[in-house]
Amino acid sequence: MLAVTQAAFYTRMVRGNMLEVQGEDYIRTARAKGLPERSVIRHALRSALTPVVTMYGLDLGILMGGAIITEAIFNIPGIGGLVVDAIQDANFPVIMGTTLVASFAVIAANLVVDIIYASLDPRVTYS
Amino acid sequence: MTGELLLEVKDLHVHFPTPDGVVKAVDGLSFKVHRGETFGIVGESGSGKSVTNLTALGLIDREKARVSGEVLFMGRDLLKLSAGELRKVRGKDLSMIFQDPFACLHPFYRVGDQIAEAILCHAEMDKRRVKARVIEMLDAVGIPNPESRYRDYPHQYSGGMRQRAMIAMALVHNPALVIADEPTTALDVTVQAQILELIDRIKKDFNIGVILITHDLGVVADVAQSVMVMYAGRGAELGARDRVFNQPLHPYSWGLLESIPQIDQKGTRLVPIEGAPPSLIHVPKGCPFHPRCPHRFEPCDKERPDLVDRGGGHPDACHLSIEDKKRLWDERESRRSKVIA
Ligand SMILES: Nc1ncnc2c1ncn2[C@@H]1O[C@H](COP(=O)(O)OP(=O)(O)O)[C@@H](O)[C@H]1O
Ligand SMILES: [Mg+2]
Repeated sequence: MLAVTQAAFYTRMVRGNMLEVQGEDYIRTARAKGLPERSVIRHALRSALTPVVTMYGLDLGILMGGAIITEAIFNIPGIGGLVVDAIQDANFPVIMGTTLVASFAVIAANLVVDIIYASLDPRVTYS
Repeated sequence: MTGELLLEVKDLHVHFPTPDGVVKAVDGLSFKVHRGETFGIVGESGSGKSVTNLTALGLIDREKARVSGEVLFMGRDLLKLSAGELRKVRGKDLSMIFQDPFACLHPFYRVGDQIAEAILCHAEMDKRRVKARVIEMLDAVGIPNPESRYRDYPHQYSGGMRQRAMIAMALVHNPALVIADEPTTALDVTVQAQILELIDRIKKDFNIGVILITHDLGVVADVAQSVMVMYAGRGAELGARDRVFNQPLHPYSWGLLESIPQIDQKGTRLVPIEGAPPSLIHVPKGCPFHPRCPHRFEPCDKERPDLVDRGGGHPDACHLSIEDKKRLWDERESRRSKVIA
């Protein structure tokens, strides 16, 4: 549900990227060699979507933070609710545990994003 | 001229309406290009060289531009073709090489695959034959180890190699005409010479026509057979290379020639052209060059001189009499070559 609000943002971002990419020289090259418009758009999308992946990785952290509030307000059982309860009870082991879990989730998400990014952009290498 | 007529541009106008006024990027331009010749187009940046050729290929946004005139390519007016028909010409019979090889290849696709794509959009071929053809072309443009280079991405190529790959891409369908828009401007001087040599060689090997666009007269001097000097979207002078270099008729050409260094002639002075290129929104009335021209006289700010043969042996667009042109150029030549003590 939280992701829905972000979807609008991503749509705009892809749209903006697409407009920007249309002006790139390699898109002109694609047209100059006689590619049909469909393939030209595929070339452009490949470039326009890549930065979105990075943004998404960063956003996962925010999504997590947002979950705490949403779950508390609507009384939905979940990690977010658990944290709020734990803080109110000064239940330190639970606070630390949930923070740890959340941290791991964000780190794992970022790792996955990095791997996907490297497979999209050949200029990214591990060293 | 040797070969058949490939391209004839007739009275081409390309105007871009903008909020500040109409940009007259190309304003009444005509020229012809034949098979087997390299046709050099020379002019300062902003003189409309790229717009001319992008218009011919249908690569400018026709919604934003007012285009008139004719661009006859092998008998067909490219300006009248539908987008689909034009696409079938592009990259097949008429292809283009651009200025910046660093930006012209898609960074995320393998170089070989990008060339393969150029083959497949005009021909049906099985994968293995496409790959063999790409490797053959990479080899033909002088890329070492073409089999392994096929799989590389653009960032693994040097600038010169990327331009070679672009040339290979332009040649896959044995086009009749290749337009090279400042193909060496972004490259190191040593690499520039290699790329020019390559363009000259493929022109001979493939027996094609080449339009070589540059702001550098030195580049044209080396490889072109015909030269058109462009100024403010119009032709200032048009003729065989030797004629334009030895008996130039237009004061703007004189300025261009005097501003290139000559290594073999010690002590010649480099003379920059006074003033800046005109705004293409407010092009000076009459001859567009007159505000910068040291030889202007009455008609120059009133009557627009057309690019026609005025008795000088090849067309030029200058009101001066042919006697004055000969005398003034000789004077400028002798003044310039006085050795500075
Ligand atoms: N889409 C456009 N809208 C408005 N002006 C343009 C457009 N494209 C090119 N121009 C203008 O046309 C002029 C000629 O450009 P160009 O052909 O690129 O020059 P050159 O290649 O000789 O350096 C420039 O002044 C440029 O600003
Ligand atoms: Mg240009």
